[in-house]
Amino acid sequence: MATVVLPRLLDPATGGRRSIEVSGGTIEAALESLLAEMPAVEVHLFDHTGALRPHVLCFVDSESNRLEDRQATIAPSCRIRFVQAVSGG
Amino acid sequence: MRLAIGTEKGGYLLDVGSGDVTGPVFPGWKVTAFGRTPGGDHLAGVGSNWFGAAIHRSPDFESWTQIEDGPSYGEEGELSEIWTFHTSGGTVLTGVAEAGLFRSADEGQTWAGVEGLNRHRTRAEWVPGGGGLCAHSILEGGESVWVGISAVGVFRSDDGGATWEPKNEGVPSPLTEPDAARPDVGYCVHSIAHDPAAPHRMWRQDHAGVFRSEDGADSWQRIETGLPAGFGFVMCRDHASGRLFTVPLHSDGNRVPVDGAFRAFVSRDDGDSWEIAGQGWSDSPDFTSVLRGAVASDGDGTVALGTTGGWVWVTEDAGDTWRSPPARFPRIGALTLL
Repeated sequence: MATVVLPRLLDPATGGRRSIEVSGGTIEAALESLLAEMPAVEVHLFDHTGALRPHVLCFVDSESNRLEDRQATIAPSCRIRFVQAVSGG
Repeated sequence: MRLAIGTEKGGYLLDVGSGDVTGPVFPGWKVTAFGRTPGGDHLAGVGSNWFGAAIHRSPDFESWTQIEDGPSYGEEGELSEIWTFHTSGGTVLTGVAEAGLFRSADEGQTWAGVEGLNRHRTRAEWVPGGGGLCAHSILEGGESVWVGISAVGVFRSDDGGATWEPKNEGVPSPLTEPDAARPDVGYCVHSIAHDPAAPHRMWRQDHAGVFRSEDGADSWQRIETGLPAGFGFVMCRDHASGRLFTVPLHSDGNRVPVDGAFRAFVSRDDGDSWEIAGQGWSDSPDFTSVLRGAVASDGDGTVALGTTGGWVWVTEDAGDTWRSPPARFPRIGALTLL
């Protein structure tokens, strides 16, 4: 099972859960698993085109990833971490 | 009396009598609008510059749940902010940015676009104002519904929202040269109010000044006698007294009170004339302002204003006396009385 980690700011959408085990061997399958469990986060992570929001960062393991290749395979030990950009006031 | 206060950095509850404050709810998020479902649940429009916008619902203003099937344009466009709610009968309307209306008939659980407005024939000509391209004001009376959109204008529907017509005759467009033909859209309405007992009597704080309509927005006449400036964002009517309130700002290029004298102004004669609203205002220079959503009224003498500086001003006698509780908040964009 891969792990998705979400930022604290999304607590109102997640009920305070910041880590979730997801199934699937690809990015797409992992995201589908995440959104099936936490549908309210979709509007916050992705814009109307389905792309990762501009000021949201995603790391797949240690690599920054804009999630453009949804068919990319991931290991069962993969950690997908969404991070709030350090910007704003 | 309790006030729910929506700010750039969370939502707060203020007990006006004791001065006690609870919050923030939605810490780190902008709280942009408050409303109620027909069944009485609370609604909050919540947004983020990073994470987009959503509607949350609560039975008690303490535990909140995000509505999963909220208003959306789907792949056609981004919904960036919830601006206002309007509840009537069994339905709730919300006005959003990018500008449009959505309707829920199931306590806010699901939302459908008001396509007669959202796909209006003039839609390609809609442009944003300083606050974005937003549907920020909704009124309803008889068979009619009005919506104010910046910087587009007032629209009225007389058939339950199926069709809409722009209603801005008499109001200058800040986007058009004075000698040009009047466009259908391009009018920067900031706020509208009306008399529920005679809903076609309307008042309008516009980018171009303060106006009144006696015919449901078919035509507008300027009413600024006694105001230090025509610019501002607020138009509020206390229905019990019939008094109107606005907060004038110097100009569109200088959006602060004239000479730093922060005051609400009142009209006791349906807008024929205006004067400083009562007593209690600070004599200290105050260059803050009040945004269009940061106004709340119970319709029975209580009016509250929230400022961009984070102060709240309250009157409980229809504007004769004003006081400001000591609590100070982030920039206030939304206000409601609980």
